[in-house]
Amino acid sequence: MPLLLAPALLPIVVLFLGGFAFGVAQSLGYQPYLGSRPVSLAAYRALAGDPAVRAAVGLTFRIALVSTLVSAVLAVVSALLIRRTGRGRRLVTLLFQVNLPVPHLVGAVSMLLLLGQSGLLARLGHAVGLVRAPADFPALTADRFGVAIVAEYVWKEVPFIGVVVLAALTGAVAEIEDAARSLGAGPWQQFRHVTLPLITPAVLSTSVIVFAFTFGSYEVPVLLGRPFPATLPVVAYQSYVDVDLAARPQAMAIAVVITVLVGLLVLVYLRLSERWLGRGLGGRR
Amino acid sequence: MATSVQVLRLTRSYGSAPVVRSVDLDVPAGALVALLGPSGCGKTTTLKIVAGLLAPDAGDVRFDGQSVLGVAAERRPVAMVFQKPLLFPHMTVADNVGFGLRMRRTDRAVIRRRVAEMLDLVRLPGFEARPVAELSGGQEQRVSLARALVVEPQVLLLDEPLSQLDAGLRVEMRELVRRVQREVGVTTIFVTHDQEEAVSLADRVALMLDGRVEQYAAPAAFYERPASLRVARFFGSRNYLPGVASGGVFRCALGSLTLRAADGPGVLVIRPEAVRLAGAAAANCVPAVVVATRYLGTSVAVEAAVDATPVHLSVDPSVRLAAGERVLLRLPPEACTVLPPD
Amino acid sequence: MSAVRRLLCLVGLPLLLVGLLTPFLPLLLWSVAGGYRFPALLPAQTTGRGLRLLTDPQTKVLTGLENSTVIAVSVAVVAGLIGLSAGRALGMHRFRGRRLVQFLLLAPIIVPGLAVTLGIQVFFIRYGLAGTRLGVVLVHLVPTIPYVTLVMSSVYANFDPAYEEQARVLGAGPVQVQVRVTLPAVLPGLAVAALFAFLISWSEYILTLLVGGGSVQTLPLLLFAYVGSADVNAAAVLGLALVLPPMLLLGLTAVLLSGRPGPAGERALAGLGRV
Repeated sequence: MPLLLAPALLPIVVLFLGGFAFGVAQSLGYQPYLGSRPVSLAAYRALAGDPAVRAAVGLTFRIALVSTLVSAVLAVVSALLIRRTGRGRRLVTLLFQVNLPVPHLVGAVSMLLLLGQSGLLARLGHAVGLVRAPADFPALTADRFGVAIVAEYVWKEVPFIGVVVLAALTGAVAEIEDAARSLGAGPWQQFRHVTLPLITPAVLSTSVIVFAFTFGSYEVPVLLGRPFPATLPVVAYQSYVDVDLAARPQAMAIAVVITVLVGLLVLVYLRLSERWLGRGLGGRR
Repeated sequence: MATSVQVLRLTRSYGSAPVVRSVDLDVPAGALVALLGPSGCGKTTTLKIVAGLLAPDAGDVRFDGQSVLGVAAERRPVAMVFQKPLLFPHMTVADNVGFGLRMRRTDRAVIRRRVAEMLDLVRLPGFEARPVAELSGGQEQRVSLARALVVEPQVLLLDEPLSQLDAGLRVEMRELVRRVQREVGVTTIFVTHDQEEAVSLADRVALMLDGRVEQYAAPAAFYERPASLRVARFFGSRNYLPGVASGGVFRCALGSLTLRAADGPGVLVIRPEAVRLAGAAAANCVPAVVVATRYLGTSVAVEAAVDATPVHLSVDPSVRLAAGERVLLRLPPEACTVLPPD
Repeated sequence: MSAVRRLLCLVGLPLLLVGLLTPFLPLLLWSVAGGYRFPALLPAQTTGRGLRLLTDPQTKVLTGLENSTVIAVSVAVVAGLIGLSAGRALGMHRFRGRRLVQFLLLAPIIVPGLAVTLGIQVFFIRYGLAGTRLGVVLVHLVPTIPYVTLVMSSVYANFDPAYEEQARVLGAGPVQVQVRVTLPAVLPGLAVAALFAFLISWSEYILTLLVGGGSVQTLPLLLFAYVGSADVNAAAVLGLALVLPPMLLLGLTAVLLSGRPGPAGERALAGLGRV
């Protein structure tokens, strides 16, 4: 058994756990291959006082939360729509999944060309007479709210959640719905009391993955957002590559904060899902 | 070619739960022995130890007197057919049947010929190129049997190979197994929980209960001379009459019956088919009242009562009996077995 | 009610598909557009400049393609082998500490790679792994291992170990059992697992940047550079070059595995969340 698990555990323990451990150490002032410094919480204190970081926490949370909620709702609606499709269902399912293998980086470039002030949408606006110059088009990229960032995440994650939900909507679910109908449940009651509870585990587990991803992703906000306020991963990377090496402990501290926040979220999810559904993330097998 | 198999004081536990407790079994060369018992009695574990898939905690397995415990499963001269056909889904029928020969690096032409012979033997000639997915349940199990026999095993182990087939097919397959075993002459151990299958197929039956061999005998003995109350119950005896024997007389709720039994307390067991209706009073006859009858097609199950003690008997459908009718029951001494109470 | 539902289907479904497909449009237009200024809806003329960039030895695109391919294929092979063994342990065996192992191996799905990789970047430099393909392959294993483990453990959980016993009593030795019976049975799942490892590695940007530095230029890094230099033509072409191989591979796998439904495909879908 240890022999079978070693190849998987070795990289995870060294690179993942090790990375986290050394990140914590460096956030506390430890500097490998450089002169030693006293252990201190200075980096964390600096974070708390840094307006860029404080703005980043709020922005990151908001983007991740909005992206996840909108994706989940649209994904469930899409899955239900696709399930009801009669003819052409195969084609619709295929088109629905077509952006799954598209890298987020490419998605971000597409959004730039679509939503930018001289992008395709702005040109369409001009064609129908709503927009005269690029400046008339609302700033959706590099804006304060991260609209394009959310749009990119939603574009990519609706099919992801939707496909998993579709897989959960098997023939067995249809039979249970029929049983509910024969017991007098109307369409809404069927959805509320039968369909929704059956797909909730799939929606919740994928939503957690989406939230964690959107919370920690770098390339999408760096391309579609603005330098201030930026999301936490962007701030962390900028501090890390800062010419002033003194910013490094702060970068590490942000990395630790990201990990802890995401970890907390998963713990809450596991707790709640165990209470509500009697199964956790491990139960997705 | 045929090999005898001896299982000696075989013991095996899973964790702290003993599954096989000191099992002895002597299978003569070329015989077909059924290992019969309810699920969880240890019969499959015993079979897997003989196959080499499990190691015993204690005891020995000998082929022709030679211990095979040190021999790996793939090197033992055995082949096994499992409950599920377990045909390798990525291979054709021919590749499945020829698998064991390929493992032995047999010449291709020989494999082709042997595969064809085996498919003939199990009545599936010309099935070589078929994908496994296209076979029916019965065909799958026949291919599985051919696959086991192609390596010319000296011992064939069958682990409930028919239990997943439907009733009609099962009877047909039973005959096929019997015929093939006769033709090949391979020593065979057949695990089953179906007593009808065991007695109709096997030369000898070993009944296993709770990890022990309760009785090992020819099929008829289980009906005529059960070794214990547990055996009688497993084989569906319905009449159990506790009493005391002394000097060739057994006293029980039916009165005094003349039969041979060791002195002391015991339980008289007699199968419903052995209880007779008597015309006139004679030895071992008791008067009774019919309580209920149930028509079963080839026989009629009758529940009679001697005072308050029920006696079950089975009579020919031509005999018309009605509830409340008075009858005279005869319990032939040769059909009565007195067993120690448990 | 059924009228409302029909209306929803009639309007909702096309709306959904338009929303999902529109973002591809500017990418396609820009890849061939010459002189495409606001407010033109369609490019005034087409140019092959972007496409020529792909094969131009002057640019680093060919090197990037080579780097991306070598790295992603290596990651797929190594992660596939890792999944093969870890999947067997988790899918076929119950042992003490199994939940902990499972938790550890799945954790990188949740915890962002950037956050943990910052902490060990120094060591990659120290041990000469920074700026090498090997270093990049190693760091790409972190986000891929959870998915190959997830896929392969469910594949193995659905594999009946009795097949291995059956092969053994027919005379197959331990190695023959694995090669002739078990491997063919889990092969479709393994293909899916390796595919997703490939896709994750192929799409990875920030980990490659951190460990590869400037010296291992993969396609995502080049795309980023072109976006920065405002060469929209090149960016669009490179974007398409990044999208097409995964789509083709995914389609190919889907065709190869069609008619072989199973847990592998379903579970593997989760892998796409990371891409």
